[in-house]
Amino acid sequence: MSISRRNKYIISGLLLAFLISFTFDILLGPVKIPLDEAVKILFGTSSNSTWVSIITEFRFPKAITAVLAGSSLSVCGLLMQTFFRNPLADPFVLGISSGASFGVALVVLTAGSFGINLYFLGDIASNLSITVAATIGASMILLLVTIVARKISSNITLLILGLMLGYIIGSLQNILKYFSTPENLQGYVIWGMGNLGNVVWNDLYFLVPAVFLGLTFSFLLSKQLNLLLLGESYAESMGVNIKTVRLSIIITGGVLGGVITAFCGPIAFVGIAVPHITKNLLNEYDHKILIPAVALVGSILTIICDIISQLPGSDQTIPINTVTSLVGAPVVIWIIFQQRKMQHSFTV
Amino acid sequence: MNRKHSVLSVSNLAVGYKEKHKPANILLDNMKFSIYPRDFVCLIGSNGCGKSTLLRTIAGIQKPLKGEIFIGGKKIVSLDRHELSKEISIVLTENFGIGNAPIRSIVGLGRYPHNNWLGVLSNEDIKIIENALQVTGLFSYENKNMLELSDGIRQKVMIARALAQDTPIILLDEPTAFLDAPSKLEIIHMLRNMAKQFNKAVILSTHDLDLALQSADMIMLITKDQKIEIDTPEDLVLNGHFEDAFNKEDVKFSIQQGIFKMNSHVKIRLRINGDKTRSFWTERALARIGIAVHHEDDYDGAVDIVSDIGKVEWRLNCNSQKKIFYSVGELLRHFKTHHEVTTKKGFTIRSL
Repeated sequence: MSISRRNKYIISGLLLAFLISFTFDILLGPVKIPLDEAVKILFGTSSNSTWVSIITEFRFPKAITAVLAGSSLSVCGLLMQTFFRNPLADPFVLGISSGASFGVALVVLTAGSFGINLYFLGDIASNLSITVAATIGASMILLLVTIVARKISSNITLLILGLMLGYIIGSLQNILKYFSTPENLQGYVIWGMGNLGNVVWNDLYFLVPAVFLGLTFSFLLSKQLNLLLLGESYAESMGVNIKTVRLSIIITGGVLGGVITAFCGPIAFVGIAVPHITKNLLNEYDHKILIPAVALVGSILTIICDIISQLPGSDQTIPINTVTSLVGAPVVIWIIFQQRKMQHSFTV
Repeated sequence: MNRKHSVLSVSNLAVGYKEKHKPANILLDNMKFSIYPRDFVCLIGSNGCGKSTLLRTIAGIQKPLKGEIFIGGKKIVSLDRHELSKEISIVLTENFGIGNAPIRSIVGLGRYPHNNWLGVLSNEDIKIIENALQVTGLFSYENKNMLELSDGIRQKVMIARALAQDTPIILLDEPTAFLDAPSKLEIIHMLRNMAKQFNKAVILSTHDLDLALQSADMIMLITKDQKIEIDTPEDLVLNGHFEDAFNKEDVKFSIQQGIFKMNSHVKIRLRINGDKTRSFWTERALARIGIAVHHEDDYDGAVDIVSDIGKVEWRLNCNSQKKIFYSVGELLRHFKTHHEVTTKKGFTIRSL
């Protein structure tokens, strides 16, 4: 594998930034925990049981979730951008995230009609049912897109189809919202703001392997993804079985995007912005290098967004989805201003 | 040279498009031909006659409507994508570059059918890539980005990539389109050399008929009635197929000169005397304004091109009238104005 000297430095710098931001994410929060105490907690020699549980039960899983969410959504975005040859493609284009949202909407918003308010049960049971609903919703859409993708040969058609699917689901959600109780609606709106802190250790036993598998599969596809950069016809002429690769990309991307949305709610802009930031940083086309690098940059960005969302120094927090949008949207605007450059990462 | 074993042969082949619930749109039918190693073949035919479709079908991107395609003696349907990618490489009109990849890497993509699942290049791969860069004259550009290069060089990058793919057959869809004349010649020359030097069958579609006539070993000509004639260029010209395929109302193929000419009506017949080069270009200029040059005795007048030290004169001698011009332009201007006058006054051409 050939990584230029310049990129070796950049990647080393990114690894350092990753470690630093991860540490800060654990140290910072509404409750101040001194550094030496945090180190003690890490080695299991602390006596302050409140702080121990804040770090081990809350901040540590949250930081890991930030890493998982950042890397999954970013790599999913990269897959979608290469596959659709569209710089604005992201984990949402296939409608998979919308599917997850719809599943949640169905559970949270109709809960009132059974006389219960799921969200304000406030315990693991409600989290679990939301996660299950989102997973089912994402899987259904994934299944639908996969079936359709086997019949449609044009990627553009597929792209439009995914977007339209998103709109249909969006309006179905609106109908549900319209008929739901204010309490349920509030619960749903809060879910829609994203939350990395909902994930507990038990969830991670599922989330970590799922993300690991998704990332590994993406990496295994890197040769085919490189060839797809030249367009489908060229890729086919160099031995790529388009049908198989298309299905692999959709399923891998669907799992990466769907699982994270299911557990953390929708997190916008990470998936679209990070691949561009990484490509600009490394000036690289090779997915063998891009996929790990995008995962790394995505993790750093999401951790930083999580730190910002904790509003260090205050005891308030703001939702993660608003922070990623605030950070990500300017990046997308910057991409649009660099339109020429953006197109060039795909075509001449 | 082994002409026994064709690298590509088709029998009873029909290509075109098939849509659901509609009869198939057959573009070319009942084709039968064989291509051998070292053949440099040009596929020509008017727009929309099915050149690209034929190439795409041979490349296995599109399914044939009927008939068989044999690649290296094996039926194309028995080969999977990966096996086929070791037999046929293609160069398309859509030349996607990759923004952040140096052209060396793009050429390197051609080695992907041969290397492992990660696409790691072996020393042999690198040798082949460097050879492809050398042959196509791209070595000095190897670290440049596609965006920084001209159309001609981008085209060469895709050709180098096809060469690196190291297949017995290279198909190119209009590789000379959008290029200036010298680049066209250069690409054609390069492809011909590749066929001969590396034992490859090179098949390309083109609209540059005179280039095809000059350079091709074989021409695959798609005729107006959607048949395919495959023969040496000269035989296609002599037996009239070439003329039939392309003649239009205003454009005629000149069988004597091997080029296409505007079919303008002859107004005056002149004879030209002088050195070969100047006579040739003077004749071309006159033909443009409808004056034919005759080498027989029957002519309306004569132009004598006389060159003295550093000075060239075009002496027009028409019906005992003599005029001297110092450039082709002056001569043309004379005819243009004079011709208008003569027609206005109703003079016949002979009275010029």
